[in-house]
Amino acid sequence: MRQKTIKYKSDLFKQEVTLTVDENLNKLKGKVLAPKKLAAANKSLRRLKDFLPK
Amino acid sequence: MIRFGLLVILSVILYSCSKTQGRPGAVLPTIPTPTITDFTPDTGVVGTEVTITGFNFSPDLSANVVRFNGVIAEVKTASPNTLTVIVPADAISGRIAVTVKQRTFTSAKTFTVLKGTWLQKADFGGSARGNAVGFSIEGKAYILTGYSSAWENDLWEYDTLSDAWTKKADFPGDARERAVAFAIGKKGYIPKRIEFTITEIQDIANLAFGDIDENNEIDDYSITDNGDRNKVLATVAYAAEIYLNKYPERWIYFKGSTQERTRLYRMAIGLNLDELTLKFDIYAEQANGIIPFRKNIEVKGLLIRKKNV
Repeated sequence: MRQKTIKYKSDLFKQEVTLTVDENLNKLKGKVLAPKKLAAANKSLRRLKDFLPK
Repeated sequence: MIRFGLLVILSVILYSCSKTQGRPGAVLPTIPTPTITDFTPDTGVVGTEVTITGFNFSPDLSANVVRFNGVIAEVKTASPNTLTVIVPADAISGRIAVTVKQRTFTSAKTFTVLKGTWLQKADFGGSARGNAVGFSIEGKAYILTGYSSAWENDLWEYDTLSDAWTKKADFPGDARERAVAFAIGKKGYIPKRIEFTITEIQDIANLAFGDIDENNEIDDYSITDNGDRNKVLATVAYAAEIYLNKYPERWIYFKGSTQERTRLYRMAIGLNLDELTLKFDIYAEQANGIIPFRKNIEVKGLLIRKKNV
């Protein structure tokens, strides 16, 4: 299980957070892990792409 | 001698006449007394079905009156040798008595009424195991790790309202048994995942985060109120910064799965806008396109990228 844990003190939120990085997820190329969210994002972005600042 | 013989015969005749005329001292029809030879079980909670064996019970349900230490019980079935009855509410431990036609028999042994009740709930969703650990948070129970045919690292949630088990994200450490689990207040072990996925538009990544469902995927429509909103937002903000440092040419697009969540993100950014704009370009998606983010504006989604690209 390739994971590493990062502890970070957020100045913005005045919180210490723990981030666990799972390198195994990087192997999942082509697999959509949040399909509903990605589909909604694509739908919105088709409409917005022409407005993006360069 | 003859006179004595006539006297005997006359006495017999007179006695026979007195029987047939129902005078005092007449023999009445015999009513059998019910008898309990045993009952089982001899302990149980209110509602337990108890089988009483014996004889001279009435096959007529209503003709048998059964009491648990004086408290009348419902008779479910009846035959001359068997009664099945239900331990009544308010029953207390003591002897069982059966009355049939005003004749009562009280058992020699006592029935013990156990306090409390057990209700069978949904079976555990994972494999049968030993040495698992668990904790509970706000009406939900969590069982994780343990040993079945091998050490386990899975986590299961039991919801008392739906009486159902749901598999959650695996415990990220090594599989184990005899672990330690605990909850403090509203906080326990509930992992969330942050993902950046490239969209159809080049150089725009979609940010998704949320609870992890039974398929080990992000449940981007779930709601987990753990009282740790700020910690979650801080973690997501930090992850976004790491991502944009690694891919400075990319945008991150994100929006809440509900309007309320999008509003929450808008408020979090608005509260920290001065600090954030030192590092990032932030744009708000609106009905007619995108505009630079400002406080208290309509926001349907958010776009962010590292400054000075």
